[in-house]
Amino acid sequence: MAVAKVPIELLDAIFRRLPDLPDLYSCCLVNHAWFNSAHAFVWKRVNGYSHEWQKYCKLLSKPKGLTVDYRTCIQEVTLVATTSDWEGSQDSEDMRRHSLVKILKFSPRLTILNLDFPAINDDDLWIISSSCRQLIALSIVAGVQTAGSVSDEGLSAVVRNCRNIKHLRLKSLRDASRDLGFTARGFRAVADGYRGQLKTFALGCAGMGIARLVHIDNEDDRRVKEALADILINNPDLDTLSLDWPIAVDDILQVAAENLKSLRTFRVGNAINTAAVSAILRNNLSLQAVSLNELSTLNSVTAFLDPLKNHPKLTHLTLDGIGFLNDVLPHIPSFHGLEHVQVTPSQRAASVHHHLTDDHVGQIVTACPNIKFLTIPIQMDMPLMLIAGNCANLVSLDICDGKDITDSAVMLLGRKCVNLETLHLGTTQNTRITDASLVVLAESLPRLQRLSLPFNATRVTFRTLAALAEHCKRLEGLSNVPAKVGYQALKIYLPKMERLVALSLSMGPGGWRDYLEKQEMEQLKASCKRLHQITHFA
Amino acid sequence: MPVILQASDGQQFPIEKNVAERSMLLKNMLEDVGDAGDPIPLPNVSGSILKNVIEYCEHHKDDPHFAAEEDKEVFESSRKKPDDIDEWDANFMKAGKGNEELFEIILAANYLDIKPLLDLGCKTVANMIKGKTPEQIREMFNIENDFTPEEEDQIRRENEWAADA
Repeated sequence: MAVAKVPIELLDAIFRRLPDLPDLYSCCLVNHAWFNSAHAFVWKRVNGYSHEWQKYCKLLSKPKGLTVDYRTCIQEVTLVATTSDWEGSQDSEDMRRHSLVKILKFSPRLTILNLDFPAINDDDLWIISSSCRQLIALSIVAGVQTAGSVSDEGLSAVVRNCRNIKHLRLKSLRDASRDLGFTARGFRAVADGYRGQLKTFALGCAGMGIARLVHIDNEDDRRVKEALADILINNPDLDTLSLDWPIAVDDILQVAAENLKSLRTFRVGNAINTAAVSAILRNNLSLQAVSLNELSTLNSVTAFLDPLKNHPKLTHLTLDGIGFLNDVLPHIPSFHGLEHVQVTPSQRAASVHHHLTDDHVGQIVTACPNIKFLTIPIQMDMPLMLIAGNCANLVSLDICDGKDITDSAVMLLGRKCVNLETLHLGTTQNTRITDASLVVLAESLPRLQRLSLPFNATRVTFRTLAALAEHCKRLEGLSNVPAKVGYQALKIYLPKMERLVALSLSMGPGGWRDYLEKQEMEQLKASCKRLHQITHFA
Repeated sequence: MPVILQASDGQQFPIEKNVAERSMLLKNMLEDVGDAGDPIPLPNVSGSILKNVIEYCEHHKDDPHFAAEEDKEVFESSRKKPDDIDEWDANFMKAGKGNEELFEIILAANYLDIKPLLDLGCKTVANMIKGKTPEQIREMFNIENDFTPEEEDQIRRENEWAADA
């Protein structure tokens, strides 16, 4: 029997080519030899929503009773928060209770740790960094609660203990006008500790529009500026740089423009120094992904974006809040290889739709046949039909505050773009979207994972829920279901959506009557396999 | 001057040198000992499997020798999907080969150190596994279930989160 003779490294070679966990799970149950190889692939990456961590914890907290100690297989942990509402969130407390640290401490092969929300504090980071010295990539978020209040202390411990870090992502959710968690001391440790080894450096702050308020040039700011500058100077081979930080960002951009030549991914937010941004675009000829967010563009947008023309191989382009849409959009069709496109108006200004935008959208979708991810504000059916007709590979579409869209465009979209996984169907005033098109959509999109209905879609009923439950087996997020469909309909159809994690209900006029009782929400959650979050929007 | 390969059952196969050199094992051997003209014994490979391996090497004899793909790159490369198989190769793997034979070819490719054939074999097996239950996999490859019901139950419990991931 040839199979019996197959040595474990050959089984490894086979299982390495199985990307899906359910297949690897089946392999585990074949026989001892297969289990011995396959389990390591099942446990190699532990990815998921924060609240799902419990299920791993239950198992891993008692390693002696396990068939093998799966902690030794874990190479990557990536956890994202179920909710973006940090203040009210119990996620971080849950994480502590379920002892993330205790498990990671005994994961000697952990090389990638991405925590997308404030999950650990300085003590935790000290423990993780001293037991997982092999870490290569680390993403952490500084939050406000004690459980997630990582700061300079933790960052310095990482630099001291983890000498192989190549990818470092730091984010703060704290109030920029007071204490961001990370200061000059932490940045100085990074600059002095990591020389010539960093490939990724990302520094972000969730505080929107705060940048200009905290441009206070004091001694502390000067030290932040110097330390951040040294990180870039000491790591000239960086291929990914992301900067959205309220202190000294414009000076740091200048340093980046003078020192970095190998960037492949560049993201910047809330900066004023567009000359430096322009120089960075000019100097980094290998750029594949560029994301510019909320930059001050007092000068001509055209001149500022000019250097982008040197990058015909650009695949990702985000221009969010960069000048006026109608100035920016005509540039996009010159990049034929684009796969990810986001062009959105500033979140700081009221959005006014211009009819020319729709013409530009038509030109973009004709010029860029490979578009997979598209976020662009449109209105009425015409542009949506052009998107449907031209972008057969579309995986994600967000039409922003698009309105006045009717069933016929939505049906066409469903029939033409069958690979869609994420779809945001605009905002209010899309009351002409009804069950008729949404049922077609559900029937044609088996891969749909996230669907956001227009807000207050009064003509959507249980029929849409029924079609989604029947056809969209991968659905994880469903937003703006009109609350007037009622508890009974939700109780029938939600349990059939086996992967649903988050649901939001929209209230119509007088919709408060349709609010779910707390008890009803608990019953819904209990009857659905994964449902974790139900929110109401009025 | 042809190279003669001798399978475990004594069958001999005269083949061109550049065909033999698809195998790193044979290439190194030929470089070390030169072509003495004696048959090279391959005690780990049967005649019927060796015939298949030679057919593959004949077809690919003019392919450029590329550097072995690092595991890391296999993972990171997004250009080629794991189930991306060339048409001739796919037919070669299908044509009259039982599932046992498929594993024999993988073992031979491993022994003879023919990376692209090993790669093709592993991909083919991986594609066959996709979507199957453990029982179907055992049946397909004639594997005996050597778990006790308790062991099987425990493994199921510990890993079932992956079943619908």
